[in-house]
Amino acid sequence: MSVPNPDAAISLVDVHKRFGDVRAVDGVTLDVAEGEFLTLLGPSGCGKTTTMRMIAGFEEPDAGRILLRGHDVVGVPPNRREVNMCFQHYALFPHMNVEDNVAYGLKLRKVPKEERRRRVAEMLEVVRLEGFEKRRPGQLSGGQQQRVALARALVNRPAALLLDEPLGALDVKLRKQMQLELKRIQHELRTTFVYVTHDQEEALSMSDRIAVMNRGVIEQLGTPREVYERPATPFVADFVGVLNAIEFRADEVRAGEAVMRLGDGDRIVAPAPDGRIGGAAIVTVRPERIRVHTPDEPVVGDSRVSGTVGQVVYLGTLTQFHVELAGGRRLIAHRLSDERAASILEGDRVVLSWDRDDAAIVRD
Amino acid sequence: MTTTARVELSAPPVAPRARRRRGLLGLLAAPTGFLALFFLVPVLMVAAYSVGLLTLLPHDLYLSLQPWRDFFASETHVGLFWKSVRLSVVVSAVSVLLAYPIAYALALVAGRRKYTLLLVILAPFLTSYLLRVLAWRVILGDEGLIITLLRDVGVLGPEGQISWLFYSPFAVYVVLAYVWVPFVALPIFVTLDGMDRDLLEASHDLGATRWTTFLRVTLPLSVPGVVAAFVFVFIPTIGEYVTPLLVGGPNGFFFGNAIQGAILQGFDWQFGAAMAMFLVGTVTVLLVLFGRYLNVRAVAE
Repeated sequence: MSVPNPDAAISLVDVHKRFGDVRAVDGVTLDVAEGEFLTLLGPSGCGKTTTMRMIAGFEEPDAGRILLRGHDVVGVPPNRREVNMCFQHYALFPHMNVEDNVAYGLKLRKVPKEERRRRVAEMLEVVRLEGFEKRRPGQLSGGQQQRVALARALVNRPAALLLDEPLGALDVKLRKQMQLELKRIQHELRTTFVYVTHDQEEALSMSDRIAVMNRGVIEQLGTPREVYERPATPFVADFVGVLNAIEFRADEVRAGEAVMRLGDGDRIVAPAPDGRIGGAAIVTVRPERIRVHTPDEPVVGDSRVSGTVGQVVYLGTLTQFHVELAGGRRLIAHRLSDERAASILEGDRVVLSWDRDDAAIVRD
Repeated sequence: MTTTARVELSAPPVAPRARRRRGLLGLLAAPTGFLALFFLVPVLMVAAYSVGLLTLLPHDLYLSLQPWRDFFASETHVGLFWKSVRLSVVVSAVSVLLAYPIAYALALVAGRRKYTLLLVILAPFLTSYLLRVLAWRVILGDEGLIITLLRDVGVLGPEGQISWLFYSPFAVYVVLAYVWVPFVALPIFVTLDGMDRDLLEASHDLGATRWTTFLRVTLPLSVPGVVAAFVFVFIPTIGEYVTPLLVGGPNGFFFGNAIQGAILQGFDWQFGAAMAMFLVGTVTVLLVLFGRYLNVRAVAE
């Protein structure tokens, strides 16, 4: 069992939680550093919300330890934990105006009136809601309510802010805008954020680190780049939206790489640092790393496979090619939408290539 | 918001607003007509009696405020009015106080069984009002449960009685509160049940104990339900005359009984009508005041 880092804002040590027969959280160990933006990413029912509710104190773990700034908080009620939460539907008090909502936590903590007023004003400035003090939540838009919810939590200067799918109720455009706002606020206040979402794009664009959860366990913990480019398991690859995943069997393993031969000189080369390729594995490669060549173009790259263009999807800056390979395999490649891309049509023969290090082998 | 949009989408594209309005008026015609005929007209008739425009015996038309003057000059009758107000206020307050914990438990603690339990609580309404009131004789009456028990344990002698227990104003208070509690739990239950549970967690998360959360969040948000509940009891109780008649005894005589007496026993319809109209006026004013308060709360949310 790992030893929690004493400097971590939040430490979870082998935390378990069952609801009846369901193992909602099944042995989660995780350190969240001070000032870090950590995202718990996963499909519904993966245990991410339960994990967060255990940190907040709304659920108690069946086993394991939860530490906030080094103090074990298991058994401590939510009102005595140094973390605050942002609810999915904001949960603003409808009978109080913006100012009273934000001041709620400070009043309970008996912060003197002058200081309270100053801190509320400061926080409303941070979330850019100056002048809205006397409005009722019902008179605010969704985005504004979101900001009030943030201010109400952050004004208490919590050891960490827990956010439960906070942007889920907003429309797409506002969501993008609030993502940037959240990052800015987090940066400005240097507060530790634990963010729960099922939206991989949101997770990738905002987080310092992502914990991808599935069936109550963390399948991978890493930076967005690590998770996206080097998914640790097929589930992670699938969930973070890796489009290309091909079953891999090593025909040859040599220094640091494995080769799968597909006939006709076609081959897929992938790094294999430990030189051990056994059991079921898949190889992943991101669409934008795949070069699309017409048969008359010279092919460069360690991996090369030939195929027939199926669908061509115009995405704006990029054009997406669905290429059918021999043996029913299929790869998706993105290419800048230039004239050359426009000349490649459905039914054309093409050759795909990529560099060895752009591919990754994922084992079950 | 989405609902509005959907309604507009599904409405026929050329549906003129006027046609929809006409449809609405058609729907309202029957209840409006019914109310006009059996509520508004009788009230106007009572009003007419109170100023002499109608009389029991054939009579020349004249307009007189004499019945009103008689009423305001009669200390007994004005006193009875205040006695009824006090009854109403106390019964309403006690009912609300007793009903609140029931509504709270149902809405916030009972979980999935809450609607079943609500039906159980409303079950007494399946029996007739008269039976429910008279059943109290078994408990409070001269040979009833309480007296018998007190005799058995020796607090009272073998022939001992407690005069204020039954056929008394006390009995009227107890029985009315009993009758109203389940009914009053309903509006309170509805406001508490409609409350977003996340608000309670948010309050807890921000540092409040359960009790502080109740005082600062739950209670203020349930005020509309409490006011509605209070009004629901207050209005029918202020004119109450059946219950005092059944369990009130000689001192359980209230304003409603005075009106009934003036009309049915005294044959003084003018005077009875004046008292009745005074009661209707008071209730209307209170309704407007409370109603405005309720609306303000609703707008704020």
